[in-house]
Amino acid sequence: MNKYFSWRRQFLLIDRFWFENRKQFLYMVATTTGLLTVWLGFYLSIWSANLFSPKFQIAYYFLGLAASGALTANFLFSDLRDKPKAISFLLMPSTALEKVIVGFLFGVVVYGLVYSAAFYVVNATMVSLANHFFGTKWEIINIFRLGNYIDPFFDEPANQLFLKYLALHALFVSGGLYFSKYSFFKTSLVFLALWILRLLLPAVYHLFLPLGNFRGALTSFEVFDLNGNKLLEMPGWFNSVFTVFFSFLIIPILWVFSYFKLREKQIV
Amino acid sequence: MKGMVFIKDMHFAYGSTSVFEGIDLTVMPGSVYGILGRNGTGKSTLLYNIAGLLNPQFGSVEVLGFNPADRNPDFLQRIFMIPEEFYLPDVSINSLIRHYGRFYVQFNEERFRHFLALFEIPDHTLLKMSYGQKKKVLISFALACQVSLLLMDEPTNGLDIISKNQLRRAIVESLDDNTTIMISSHQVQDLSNLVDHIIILDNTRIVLHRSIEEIGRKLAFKISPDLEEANAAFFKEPVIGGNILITVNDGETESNVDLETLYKATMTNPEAIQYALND
Repeated sequence: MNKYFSWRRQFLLIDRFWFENRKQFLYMVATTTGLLTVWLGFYLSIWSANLFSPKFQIAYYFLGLAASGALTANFLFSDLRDKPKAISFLLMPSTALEKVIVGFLFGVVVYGLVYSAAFYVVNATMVSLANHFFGTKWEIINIFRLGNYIDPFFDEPANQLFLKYLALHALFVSGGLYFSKYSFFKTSLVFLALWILRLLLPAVYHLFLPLGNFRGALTSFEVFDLNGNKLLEMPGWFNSVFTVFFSFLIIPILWVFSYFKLREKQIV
Repeated sequence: MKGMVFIKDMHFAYGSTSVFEGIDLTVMPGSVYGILGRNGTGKSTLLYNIAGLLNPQFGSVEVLGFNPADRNPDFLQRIFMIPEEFYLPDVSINSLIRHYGRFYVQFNEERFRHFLALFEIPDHTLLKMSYGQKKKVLISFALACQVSLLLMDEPTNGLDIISKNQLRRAIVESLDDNTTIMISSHQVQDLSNLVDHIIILDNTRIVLHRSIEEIGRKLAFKISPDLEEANAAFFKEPVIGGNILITVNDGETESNVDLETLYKATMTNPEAIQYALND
């Protein structure tokens, strides 16, 4: 039998995961739907027509996905934080790869689809009500064509936010495996620290660089000079590597980290 | 016969607290091993290392030809651990069979139901069962998986006297030449007439590891009113009617091993017992 992967074991594991966690999963979806309803219902009740523009709908979709997705991600391997459950989980005859695949399947694919469906229903209802009450003609966003909208946070095509969400999700999965206690809180702190670091990075660069400003990317810097500004540019591939790493590679890297963390997990 | 578990020079510590300092152990198939020791001497830790739930800091552990730390699925299919604190989902017996039994290729539903009947477990959901009943379901499930190595950590905890007898019967029924059962317990009497090898742990070491047959052949356990005989014994403890003694077995018949007395003697004077057994 293959010591890394077998379809038979994978299907057994999917079956078992769903059987064991279906109630919690459905509760989580119901809670998320309820919270979305309360949240958007509150905006509806304060009579502000602008709060339902497509730009805001995109923001609600991703904020809800990020918050509930982070919680779901942290819950995926929560069995490992309870010794009797951890023993049962680790000694289940399947590989760490198969267990991580189940986590990805339910945490990313299934949860993402179910959340999107729940959001669509709540959002469509609220936007229709808003249009009815305020006389507006806001379009209901199509969450399967997010590339058609502009991301309200970073001013780029909204579908790129998925990559940021997937990175955040993968970070919380890794945190759930890395920290044996208060993992959600600790991972949130790590996320916060990384975010602050990202905000401070340009300021740190400025300490070491001459007077000037970045031009678009961190690889292009314009030095202010009385005799004429000078443009310092790093090779184009550096920017590509930087973009590819933080947009695409960080996600699989975090999942691979989770895989190795699970493989070497010992009971505490 | 090929060994099932090989432990060589294993060192294990929780942080700075050392549990094992270079232990060696070979476990053969077709036997029931009883692991005894005071609280905190590493009985559970030994089982966790064998199952691959903990990894030694130094030395090696090989079980059924695998490194347990790899948690290879073929290895996991051939072992089962019943921990002292266990987890069983609150599902029906049928769901347990359908969603959990299929992970073990040798799982036998008929056998599972047979052991459930032996333990007098009703066929309903685990949600309504007591701790002891759940434990018996887990033991039945483990025995039905027909694994090569069954690790039981304090299996008699939470079981009443009748259930302990049922457990004894179930273990005897499931034994064959290819199966090994390792049972840790601090209730020495629970292992009497059940194990055929004894392992006693103390102070980071295995202080005794022998077969019951060898112990019974080399040592004699008896109650004697004779003071002179008591003074010559390896171990004596006053009881009604004289002293309970461990002496050299001079006779040709195998003595009945009194595990409790052997345990006390080993904890009091391990060198003397080792000396007598090595002779």
